[in-house]
Amino acid sequence: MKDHGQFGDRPAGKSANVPSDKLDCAAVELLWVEAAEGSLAPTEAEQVRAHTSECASCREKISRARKGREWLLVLKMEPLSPPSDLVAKILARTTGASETSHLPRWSMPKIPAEIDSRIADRYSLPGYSFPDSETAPVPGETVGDNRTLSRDGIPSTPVWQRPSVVFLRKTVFEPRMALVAAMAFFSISLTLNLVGVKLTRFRAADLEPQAMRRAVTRQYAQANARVVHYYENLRIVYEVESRVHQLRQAADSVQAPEKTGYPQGKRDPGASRDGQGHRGDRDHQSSRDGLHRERMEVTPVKDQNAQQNRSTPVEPAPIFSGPTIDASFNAQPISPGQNVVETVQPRFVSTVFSEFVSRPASQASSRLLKIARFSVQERNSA
Amino acid sequence: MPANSDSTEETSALVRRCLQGDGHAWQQIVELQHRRVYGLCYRFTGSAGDAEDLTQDVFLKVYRNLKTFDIERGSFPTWLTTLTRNLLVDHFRRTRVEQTTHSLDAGWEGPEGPSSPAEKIQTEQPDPLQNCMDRELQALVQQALLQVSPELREAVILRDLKDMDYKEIAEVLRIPEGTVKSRISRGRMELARLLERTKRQVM
Repeated sequence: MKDHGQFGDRPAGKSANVPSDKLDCAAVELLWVEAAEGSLAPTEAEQVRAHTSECASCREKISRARKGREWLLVLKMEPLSPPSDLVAKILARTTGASETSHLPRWSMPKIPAEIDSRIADRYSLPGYSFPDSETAPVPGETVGDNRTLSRDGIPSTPVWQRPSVVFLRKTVFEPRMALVAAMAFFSISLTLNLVGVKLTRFRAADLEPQAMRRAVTRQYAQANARVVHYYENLRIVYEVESRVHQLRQAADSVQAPEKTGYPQGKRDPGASRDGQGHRGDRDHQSSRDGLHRERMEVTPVKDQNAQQNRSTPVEPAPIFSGPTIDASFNAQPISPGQNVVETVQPRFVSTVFSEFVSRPASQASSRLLKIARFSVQERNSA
Repeated sequence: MPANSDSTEETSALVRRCLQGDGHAWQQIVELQHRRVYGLCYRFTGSAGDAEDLTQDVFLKVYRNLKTFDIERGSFPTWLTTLTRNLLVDHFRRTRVEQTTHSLDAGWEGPEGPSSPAEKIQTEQPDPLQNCMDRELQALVQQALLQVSPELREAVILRDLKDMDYKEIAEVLRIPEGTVKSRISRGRMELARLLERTKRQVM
């Protein structure tokens, strides 16, 4: 209300227009209060009336102030009763509980446990809502509040009206506070869960940086191991890896005469290939060689076959079990110097492809593709 | 509270007896005055729960400071009102931050008066409909009153709801009488303006 300011901000012209025997706006402003209340002395009322007949601004303000007062009178009519136990509470807080015991009117008689539970039962019935006299003071005297309760002749303070509970309700259990607390709790517990901290097993020693680093490393290793385990247990991965391995074995056995002895120097094929530029896959290579060595130990017969193949490279014995690839080998006998993978490639790719198509795409890992592609490139460059 | 001489005399006598250690006199003082304090607090804060807590605080303060009250120099109701007003100002300063989010909680504090249908019938109002409309209107005015700035609000409440005279208000608020009058007028006009705006929005 900046336009209805204190006495200084009235335009000077207006008060100059008012004849000197009448009141000017500033003087009338002092009388607004009484004018709105209708409590002006007769002479003052006359003066104000004379002024407002000329000054529209003052007239409007007085009428507005009068309206405001009328609104307030509406509020004044409202019966406003404090809670019935307020006096008892005040007395308890000021003079102490001991003195309230000899005040017959506000004293709280001790309720027998049996009746207490009866009341509790009655108010815990579903659908029964008791008006909270905390928030809704009842008009009239103290009797009004107790009417419903004292049908059994028991005035009592329900649990939700006791000061401690009221305080809790007004602070902690306020909806937004409760919401904030719940959110905080959930986010903290989620974070802790994610990090792997178990509060029940938490020790002060766990807070040392060393221990924390160890815990994090362990978490990481566990997660990593789980993923690797899952991946290696996928059937398609296993199958394709073994096929690729078999293919390479076959190719090596075909081309062995041109190279160094295959079974003796297990690192030789890998080393020669690495020399040709597949450095990025060195680890694949070595792991596969390790696998190869293991297989050779388990199945010495195949190893002997490979030895024989090396001595007579014209007729490589098919050592794989896959029907498609077997068939392709049987249909096309491989001549020395011919690239095995190139020959087998169309069938092989179609086999792998059908494997892919028959499974959900999520299982087709990029590593698998890489292996397949690598073996082809490898053969080509060899 | 109209400061007629009878009640003033009576209150002074009670205060005197209370100062001499009469517990019963204190009880009577609380009994006589708590409505007034509660009413002031309720009108100023607009919350029954706050009003109840504040009323208790006021009487606690009165009880502790009763010795400092000089019967010869001022009336007890004015002193009580001053104490109440100071606590209200403190409370207002404390909760000013919460005021902005007040609307979130609207509806959690039930409106004034009996809330169950059974109690509404029990109240001895002749016309339930009229009663209900009155309540709506009163709630509206109370809501508007809370939007009036605190300096104007306290002046208006003391004058129009508690019927104190300007001199007493000036004493309670510790401002000149001219300022009291100006604040009352501005408070009334502000209230009327707010309610006109509400009416326009509702219509």
